[in-house]
Amino acid sequence: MILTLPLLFFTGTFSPGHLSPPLLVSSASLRLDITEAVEAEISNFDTLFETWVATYRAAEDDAGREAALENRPTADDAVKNLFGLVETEPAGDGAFKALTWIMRAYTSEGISPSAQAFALLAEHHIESEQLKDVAMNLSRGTADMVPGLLTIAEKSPHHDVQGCATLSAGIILGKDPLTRERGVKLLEKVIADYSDVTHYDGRLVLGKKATGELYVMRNLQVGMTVPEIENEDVDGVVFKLSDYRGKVVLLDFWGDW
Amino acid sequence: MYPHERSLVSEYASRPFAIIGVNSDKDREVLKERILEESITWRSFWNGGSTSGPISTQWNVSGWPTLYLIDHEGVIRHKGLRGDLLDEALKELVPLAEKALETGGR
Repeated sequence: MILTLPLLFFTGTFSPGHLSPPLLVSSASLRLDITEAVEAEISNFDTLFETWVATYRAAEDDAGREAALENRPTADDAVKNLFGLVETEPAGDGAFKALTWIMRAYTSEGISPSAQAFALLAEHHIESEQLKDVAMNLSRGTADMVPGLLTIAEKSPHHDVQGCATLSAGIILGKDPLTRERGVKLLEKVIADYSDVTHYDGRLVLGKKATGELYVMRNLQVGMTVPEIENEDVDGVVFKLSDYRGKVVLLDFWGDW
Repeated sequence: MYPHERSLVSEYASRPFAIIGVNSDKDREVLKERILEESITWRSFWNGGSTSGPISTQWNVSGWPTLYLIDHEGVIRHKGLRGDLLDEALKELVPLAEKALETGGR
């Protein structure tokens, strides 16, 4: 139960700190600046959430923590209010902030605002370079994110953003046997057109990532014969995985950490 | 993981079952000591001293532990099984391997 807490923190209180400063509204401009209202809405929820975290932490035993979890505040109201603000000015920086926040928000079961928020991002913020992060984070997303990703892959003016959106769409589609062929094609496109694009300070290279994903799809699915491994063991003696044919093998990628 | 793995090794000691590791630790000598300390009797491939070594890279492993359960014919039967689910799968697969041995199959 305690182990779930870091995730709760992340989804509940993480606010992007790297976004542009609030729009300057000149006296001649009729543009409505919703940034301040968006920030206030997010900050309200953060306060609510922090108060709840304090309660959770103060719980003395598992039963107390279970009870606290029952009362975890959802972002349902904040999400609803933010969508209302976004509607008034969907293309501004404030809307970008609101929509990316909604995509990470913890809402009640049955309410899934991420796809709607993402569709609005793809529609109104297609020029933004920050869609690179949004697209990359969706590699663990669900199939309802694919249309938005494909829009971004096609229409973003930025090569990096296109590449990340193509990769995420390929990974998501490749997971489902019914859409695997489409996923494979997208990953092959990443290798052909976006191989050198990097993310996370160079720790992720798109071509490498796509190659790995393709390898899993083609060779490491349940029902496939396992690929050979021939390598030295910890003591330096070479052996093969196939030496163990005839036995049931639990293959464990592990480390002592 | 170690206690569960140790118990599997002893439970299936004389039967057609093996744990094979792919180890991604940095320091081989430190690891060898830990293997003795933890009574890790199963054999491991050496992944080159890094989580981004050649085997884990080819297999696209990005989380540890990553587990594959492979039957006696070398077919991948489950991915990521742990705990009770792993125990149940072994109860099904190991007898199949024994049956194949008896009938002279692989």
